[in-house]
Amino acid sequence: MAGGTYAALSGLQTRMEQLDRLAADIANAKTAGYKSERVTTNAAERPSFGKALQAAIDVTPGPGHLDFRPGSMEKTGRDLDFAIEGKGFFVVDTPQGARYTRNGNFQLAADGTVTTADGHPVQTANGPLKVARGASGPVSVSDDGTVSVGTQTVGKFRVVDFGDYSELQREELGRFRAPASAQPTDADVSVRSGVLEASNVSVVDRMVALTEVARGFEALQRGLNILSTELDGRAITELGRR
Amino acid sequence: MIRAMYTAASGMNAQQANIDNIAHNLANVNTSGFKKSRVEFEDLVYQQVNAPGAATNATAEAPVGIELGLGAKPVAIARDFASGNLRATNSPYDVAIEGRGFLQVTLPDGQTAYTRSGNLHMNQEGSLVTSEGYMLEPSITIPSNAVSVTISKDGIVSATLAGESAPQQVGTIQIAAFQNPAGLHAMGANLFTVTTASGDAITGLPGTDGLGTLQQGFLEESNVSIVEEMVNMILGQRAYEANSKVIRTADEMLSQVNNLAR
Repeated sequence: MAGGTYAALSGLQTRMEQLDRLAADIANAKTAGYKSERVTTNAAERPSFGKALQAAIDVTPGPGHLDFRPGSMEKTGRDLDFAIEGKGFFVVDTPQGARYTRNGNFQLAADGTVTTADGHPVQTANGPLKVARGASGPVSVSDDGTVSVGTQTVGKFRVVDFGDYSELQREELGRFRAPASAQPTDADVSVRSGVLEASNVSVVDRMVALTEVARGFEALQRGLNILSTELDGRAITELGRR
Repeated sequence: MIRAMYTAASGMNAQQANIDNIAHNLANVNTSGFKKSRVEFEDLVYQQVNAPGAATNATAEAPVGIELGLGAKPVAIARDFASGNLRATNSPYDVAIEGRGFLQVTLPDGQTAYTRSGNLHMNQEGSLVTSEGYMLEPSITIPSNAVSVTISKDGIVSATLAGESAPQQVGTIQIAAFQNPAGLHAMGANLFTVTTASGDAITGLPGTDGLGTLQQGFLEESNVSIVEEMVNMILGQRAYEANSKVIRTADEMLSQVNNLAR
């Protein structure tokens, strides 16, 4: 009796959490380099609740898996916008250590250092990428990630990749952090300038999921009502007449 | 669920900034020397529900945690200094810059500002000024008896005086460039001022150091592409709508929670 109530409750809570995730994905439908998340659900074992619960299907949110499929390439025409074709990440040096990103929307600091939008320097194989002061001409990048200003070569983007993406954690601005155990290897990919990788959130797909969450929630809520009013309520009133 | 509402609201705010910026670009489609800008978004911090590496039971650890994102916000509005098309006006005082330089003007408070909009005029003293009446720097004065004025590619201004056959030089226009023009502060009226982000001005004569050359009788049009802005507007509107649907869904779910207890 109570078991069914708790199972329905866990289902309701799981769907609330799913709604939070969907909201985050939809809010970032236009954020360059954003990677969405696929969420799973687990049947939960709750030995502490006794046998009554085990009979019911009880779900909890399972681990999420970041979806590293590439987003579409969006032409911006700005010479400090870069996108990686294929697998790999730009390396950014933050006060908390190295961070990895596919968001190539870079800016220029006053001293000529190429930085992320919030001012952290982007790395080459030997230190931060710098564009020589007073250098003229447009910034261009060859397929292997070598950056030139006009006809002058200024450095080569460090692009790295991981064998296993499951340990990467998301941070703000489309950045990822890797645990110390995961060492990146240099990746051989092509980099393009004047394009950004768009968010890989499919709004259509998320809208469908949103409807599913809402309807599933509604069904559980009705189930709960039936459990509490029809079954428990009737048992109390009918049995109480004797 | 309440979290989803705030997350979606942050998404709507971000798209609102996007549409505002598109409106500004489209409003200036015919402003000479105008440079379009673009809103860049970032995903907001993640809230840890379960830390990765937390124990799931006596022997196992969670390989990945549960981290909820809290939405999006605009992180930068980047100005794009790509050149606009040059349009012939045939007015001797219209100057366009081919290349990356800026004309220098003196503001009333003595500060120097920079502009790509070169529709110049003469004031009552014969000095070359912008449409707002700000003097060029260094200032150039055209004699009152000048019949015609020519501005060469490398910035030399010469005037032919009444009754003379040979033109004489009356001044030179110097232009300035920046390490990071996107970091300039836009003060409106097509004027920009230096910030720590832009770096100091690199000044010189047109045609030197890759600063660009002058074109007399031309104006630079804005670099706004109407088609591109329209496409972005549609996309922004749809993203806004998707976020509003999330809020509505969260609201419906909350009202169902309220119906649990009758």
